[in-house]
Amino acid sequence: MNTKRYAELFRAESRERLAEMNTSLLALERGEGGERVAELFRAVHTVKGMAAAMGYADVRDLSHSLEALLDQLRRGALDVTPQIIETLFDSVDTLESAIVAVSQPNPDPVDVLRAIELLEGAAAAAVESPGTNPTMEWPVMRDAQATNATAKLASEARSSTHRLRAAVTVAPLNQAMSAAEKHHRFVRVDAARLDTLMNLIGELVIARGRLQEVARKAGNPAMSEAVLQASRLIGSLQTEITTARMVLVGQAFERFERMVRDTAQSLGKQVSFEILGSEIEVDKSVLDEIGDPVMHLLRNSLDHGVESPSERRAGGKPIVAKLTLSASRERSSVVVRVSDDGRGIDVARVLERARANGLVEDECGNLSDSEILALIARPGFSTKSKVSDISGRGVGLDVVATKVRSLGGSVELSTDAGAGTEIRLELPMTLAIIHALLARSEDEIYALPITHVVETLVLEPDMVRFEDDREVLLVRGVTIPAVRLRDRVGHPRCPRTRGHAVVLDLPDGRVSLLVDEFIGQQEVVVKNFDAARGMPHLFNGATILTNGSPALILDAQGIL
Amino acid sequence: MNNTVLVCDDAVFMRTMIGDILTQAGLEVVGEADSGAQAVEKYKSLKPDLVTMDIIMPEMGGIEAVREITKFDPQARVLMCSAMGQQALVAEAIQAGAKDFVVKPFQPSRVLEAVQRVLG
Repeated sequence: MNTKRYAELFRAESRERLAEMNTSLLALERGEGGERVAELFRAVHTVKGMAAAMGYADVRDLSHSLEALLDQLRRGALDVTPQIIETLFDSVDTLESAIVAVSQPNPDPVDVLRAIELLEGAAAAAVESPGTNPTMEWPVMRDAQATNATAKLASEARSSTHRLRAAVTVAPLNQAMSAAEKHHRFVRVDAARLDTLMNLIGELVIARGRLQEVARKAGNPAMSEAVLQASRLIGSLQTEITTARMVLVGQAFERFERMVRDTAQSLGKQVSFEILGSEIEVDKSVLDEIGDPVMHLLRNSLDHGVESPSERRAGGKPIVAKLTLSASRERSSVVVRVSDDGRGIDVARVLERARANGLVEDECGNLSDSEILALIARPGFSTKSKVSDISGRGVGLDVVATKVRSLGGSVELSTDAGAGTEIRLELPMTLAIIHALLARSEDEIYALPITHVVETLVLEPDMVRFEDDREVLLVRGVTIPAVRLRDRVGHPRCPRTRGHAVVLDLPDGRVSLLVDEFIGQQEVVVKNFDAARGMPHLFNGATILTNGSPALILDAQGIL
Repeated sequence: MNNTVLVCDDAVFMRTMIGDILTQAGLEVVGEADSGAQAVEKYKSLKPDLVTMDIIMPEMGGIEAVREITKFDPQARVLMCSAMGQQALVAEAIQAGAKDFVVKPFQPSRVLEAVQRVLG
């Protein structure tokens, strides 16, 4: 048996089942019954079966105890009480740790026994109903005896049909689901394979560009016709593969339900959490990257935004706070919003802190939402005097802002004192293809993602000046620090001060980049790129231009 | 000609494992199903020589699926795959028309003995 392959399958599938368990548990907690218990039971049962096959005793035993308790819930021998739900959450957590532990060489010890005892304690509270308890007494059959045993079982079954009915409450039919699933057949594909396809399609798009150029020059109508047809097909292929990589936002957001619930509980706050737009589809690459930022934002809301029940009561607000995570499509972007109806951001305190750090002038009396964001998104800025273990030292927002910008997105904040805060992230639909400005330095071409670009300028002789020994660019009376691309990529300085400049809006302020020339704007396919060790971080990828030559993609933050 | 098999289990892990055991024994896995409803549908289109059937599956449980399959083809040969602690369910499955059963975790030799008996 190919153990490694099975271990891989076990890991992947048990992770999925754990996610299902959490979803079902949350639904159960909201008061949904019936089918939720059955779902939970199936998920646990599957994990048990796999663990038994792999010989993972801890996982097997714990899921067995979980299953036994769920079976009693399913049969109505036990009621779903808050304590039971807590026990279930707790043991699902332990199960997760146990599952993680089996795939690690030196795992932290997991106290499976404690969880099993808890579960057994809860199960013992059930009203004993003899004869309907299909648990561990089933002996492991020797197959030589199996046929006899089968016959015996069959006759036994005939004599005790009432008993069977009690036990067979398996999975009531879900008609709606089955109708829907008939039209959608899915195959499981390794995500890496889709990435490879995306990469190949990128190459194909580049090759298409070259082919078109050649065909244009050749001036052969039949060839042009064929190239045109191939081009269209390649375009459709690109769309299809991009779509195939799309995943439902809900898949990534599901896990936050549990996190929000646990965090709110540990902070003693009451929150109703809503996820909107789960059905929106986004490129997998984007979704993989925004998980952590969104988690930061939710934690920030719970920790700083949402008030304690007593504070809410005093303020005349409903005791249960609202926290919403939503996703929507806007033009060619995905917009993710995290909003709460908490206390909002205290502008006076932001100002006070900003003054203390010398970030604003003393006489500055008020701040716009975007100014607040610019301040609180600075590394290390926090208005919270005490460090909590929930959202840390205020590193939340600057990390979020930096991450989102590095993905080519933007962050906006709106806050209303006493009424709540909303943070809006706008993200590209895909990270695989980006818009870039092509800049020339000497005879090399570099691609600069247009995310941070504010404007491009033609340099006039007196625009570049020295101020405190540093070069600055004078744009309409404002000086902006200037960086020369030539210096950064190791080209000798050009004696002339001619050329082009681009103004970039970065988290730390505006900066300008001086280049020999901008030669255009184009969509480029990003290929990930591992810089040689010790190299300064100037690039975050590479691409192939339509003329077939390679170009490095500049990392604006790294280069400046 | 090799005997054909339809493997029904809601876990990819289990389908892969059963599939591997049976393939190594020279059977041909012609289809997989991850729910009872799919098992019935695939049985009708594939008409395999053998079906391995998990008991606990979403949408339609394995027992209900056996009942449907036997209704469609009384000669159908279905081998139930049960976990420990499911004796009552196994009994019901056999009443519903399953020919034999194996208990998880699978040992290849035991699975193959059961397969021989069922195909016998």
